Amino acid sequence: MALGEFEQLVLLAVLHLGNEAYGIEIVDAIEERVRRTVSRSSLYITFDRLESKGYLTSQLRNGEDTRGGRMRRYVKTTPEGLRALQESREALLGMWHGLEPLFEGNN
Amino acid sequence: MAAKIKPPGLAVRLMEGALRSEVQRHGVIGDLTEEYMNRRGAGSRLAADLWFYRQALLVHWRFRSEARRIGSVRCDSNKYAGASGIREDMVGDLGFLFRRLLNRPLFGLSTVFTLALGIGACTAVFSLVSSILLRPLPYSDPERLVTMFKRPFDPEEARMYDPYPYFTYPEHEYWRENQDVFKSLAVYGGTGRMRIINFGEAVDQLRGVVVSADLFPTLGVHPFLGRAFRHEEDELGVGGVIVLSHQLWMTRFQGDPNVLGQSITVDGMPFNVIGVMARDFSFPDPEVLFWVSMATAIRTPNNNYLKMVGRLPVGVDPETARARVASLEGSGGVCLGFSTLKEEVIGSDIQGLLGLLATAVVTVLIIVCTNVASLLLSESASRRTEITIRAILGAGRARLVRQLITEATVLSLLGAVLGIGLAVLFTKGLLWVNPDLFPRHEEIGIHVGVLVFSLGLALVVGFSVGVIPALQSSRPNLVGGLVSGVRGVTRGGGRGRVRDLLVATQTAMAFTLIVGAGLLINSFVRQWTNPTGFSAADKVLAMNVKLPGGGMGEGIGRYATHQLRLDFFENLIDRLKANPAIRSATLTSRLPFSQGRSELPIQIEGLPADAGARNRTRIFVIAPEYFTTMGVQILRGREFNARDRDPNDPVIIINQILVNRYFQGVEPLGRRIRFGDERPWLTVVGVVAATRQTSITEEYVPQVYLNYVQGERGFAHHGMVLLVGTTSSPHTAAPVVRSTLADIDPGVPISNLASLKSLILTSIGEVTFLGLLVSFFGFVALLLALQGVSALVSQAVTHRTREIGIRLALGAKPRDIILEVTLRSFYLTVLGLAAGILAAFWAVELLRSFLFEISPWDIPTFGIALLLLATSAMVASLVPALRATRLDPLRSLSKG
Repeated sequence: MALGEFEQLVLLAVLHLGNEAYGIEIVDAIEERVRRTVSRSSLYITFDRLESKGYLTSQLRNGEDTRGGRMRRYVKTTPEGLRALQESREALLGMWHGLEPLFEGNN
Repeated sequence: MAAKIKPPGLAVRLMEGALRSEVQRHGVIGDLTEEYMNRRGAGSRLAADLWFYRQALLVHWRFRSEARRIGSVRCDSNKYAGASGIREDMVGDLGFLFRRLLNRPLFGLSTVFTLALGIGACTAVFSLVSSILLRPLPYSDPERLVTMFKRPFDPEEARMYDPYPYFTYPEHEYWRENQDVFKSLAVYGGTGRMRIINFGEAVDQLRGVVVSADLFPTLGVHPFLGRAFRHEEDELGVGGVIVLSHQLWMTRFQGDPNVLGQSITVDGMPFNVIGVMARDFSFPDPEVLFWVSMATAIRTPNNNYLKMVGRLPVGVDPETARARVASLEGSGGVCLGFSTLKEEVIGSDIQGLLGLLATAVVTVLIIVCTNVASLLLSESASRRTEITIRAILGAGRARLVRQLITEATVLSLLGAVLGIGLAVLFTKGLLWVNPDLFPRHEEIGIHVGVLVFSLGLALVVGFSVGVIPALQSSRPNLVGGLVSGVRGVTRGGGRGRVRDLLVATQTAMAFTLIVGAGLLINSFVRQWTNPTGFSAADKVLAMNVKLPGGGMGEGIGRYATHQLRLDFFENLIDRLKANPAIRSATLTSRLPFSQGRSELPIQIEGLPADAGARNRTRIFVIAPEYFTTMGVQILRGREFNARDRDPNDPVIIINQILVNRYFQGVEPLGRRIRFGDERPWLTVVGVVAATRQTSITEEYVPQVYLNYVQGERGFAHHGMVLLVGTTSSPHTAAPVVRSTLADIDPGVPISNLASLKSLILTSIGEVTFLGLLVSFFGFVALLLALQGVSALVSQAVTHRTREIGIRLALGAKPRDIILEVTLRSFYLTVLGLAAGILAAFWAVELLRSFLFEISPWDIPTFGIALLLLATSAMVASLVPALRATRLDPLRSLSKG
């Protein structure tokens, strides 16, 4: 199943962060690299959707005191998630191929 | 310290409610809390709180919608299969309906509100019918209670006189002893205002009646506290006793049982309290708050003031009783007749009024039903895809019909719940506008029976509005249904025809109501502008003035004699006239345009004995300057003046109608008139123009005016009507009258203060009320019908968007497009109006008795209604039609 743009951003951020991928870090990673604000509620809904598709797994681990006694939900990309990312990337590159001259000079 | 900082608890709970799993809660709430702490550390608490609340709301909303989305997919896939039981189906149908209503609140609200209007109006009128006509009177075996009248025994004479409902006390005694038709006969009387003086200092004007000891046994009621009257208490010279109403007992005596045996002064006479009646008892009407024994009642043979009620024995049918009682000749050549007490209480007019109201609300309900049915029909058109998918997945036709009817019934029940609320407001409004129009109005309300009626009506309405769309749309065209759902093709034949019929019906019904409203408004205007003969009607203030004493206390107190009363009134009038704001002031015996009248046959000196003797002449007692004050034209002679005081030379003024009818060309001035062989002659000193003052719709009748100063015992009674002529608005005189009265005698109360114009308006209350009400219904019906027409055209435009777009692109003229899309609604309006004319011809018959000087088939009224509906229907269909011509061809093609 094809991935939406936001889903790709989330999966890629998780890969960048490695073992430290949880909500706040993912928000920061995306905002830093893509330079746009991330809606928290969309992020958490996306976690659930990706997990139900089998592209993510989560694990609860103890966090800091400032979480009001709640644990952190650390997420990890699964091999299926990686495959889906790969397919999305290929699809996009295939579509981009040959169009580069159109955008040269615009960047 | 940091550990004590917490995010807002409410926001946390809001999220907890939407997040289902522990993982979600830890992840989401934990992260947001962590971020909240960082923000608190970096900035203000308010900013952090606001940020947190915003996140919590977004999380709540997003996770809830997500859950709903997943849930609805699961739920619908179960339902499409149609394999579950009826109860599960119903629950599923309801859930589905409510989700649809939530998604389309405007459709839901407009349907429920339209239904509420129809059901509410019917519920309100049913509550009137049930409270007034259907509920038995609050007495034992009330259908056997009758109210008596007397009429001449000679059938020839009986034809010439109206039955007379008042008796003297000797007549009552005679009939009680000399008949065997009734189980018992009782009398009561003096329902006018009386004065009750408490043992404390408080003084109150309250209504009470004198009753014979038979009354309570005849009605079959017993006091709730104490005892009823005894026969010996009917006798003269025995101490007076009094029974209190529950209301009076509660308000004036705080429900104290020790009230029994206490003494109360009524009109200056002492009465011993012997009983208190039950809360729901009232007789003859709820404003009567006490009943006193006959001990002090006037019982001379001339005083016809008692009404007689009787009880028929069990097993005697009223017709037999009527024949038997008509064969008994009493003293004075009269016999008895009767009607049922219920007829007397509810009157004969109310049935016509309620019939008319019922017709109006049923018409509104039919319009509402057709309106909602066509709404549901067009709604079902937009649900073709959904219905087709259900059918493909195996739902049978019965299952689909059941679902659609369930939906309509639920909408209708919701409408009924709102409608009952509207009905409460509606009945309160009706009673507020004109309580006197409705007998037993204190009993009117939404009883259990009314609620049952309302819910039953809702079920019937739900079924009726649901069945047509259900049958129509449960025959899905499996392929077309899917394609049309996506593409939108032209209207389906069967559904279109049914909808056309509904729109035409609405137009017909609206036309009928508008014609009715037109006739009533016309009638109102004709009554309002009917001449009364009072040219100064807009500059007269009228009020009752009541001197202490009188009634039961006749002959006692500071106004005991005629001369004392005369002095008071003359002083009052002189002082009022000295005020520059007051043009003139005078007195009369009866408030104009109020109930009741005095009539007697007359004899005219020198003319054949039967001139005037066969017909009663209406009598008014007046003071000098009456005609000037009221603006009545004096045709010949003069009005009464201060010199007309000699008791041995009494004078009289007559009206032109009397002259025309009886004087046969003889000069009336100086001729003498009397009211019977024994009565003195009165000399005619003036002839005045005729006036209407009992009812504005009556014919002019012969009238005579007596001078209140003269007469055998004088006519300056304790209770008189003061008429004040003003130079500007009549109400400017009220403070002057109040202060003048307070100056002369602060113990003299005034009541029923009103301008003459407003008295006239009140007297035509029935037609005003009906005109307003039917106009309101007509207006609602018009709006609903126009909405139907407009929706029809609008839907045609929507369905033909592609086609119209292509034609516009190909250069079609907008005018042709307009003509084409409105043609159908034009035909339907013509059809509806034709049916409406037929319906109106039949329906206006009901109005006949409420109309004044206008035929029920008044052509101008029909014409105006026709024009109004036709033009507004045209406007209603033009608006969506114009939209069609403004379509952008490119966009409409891409949309299709």
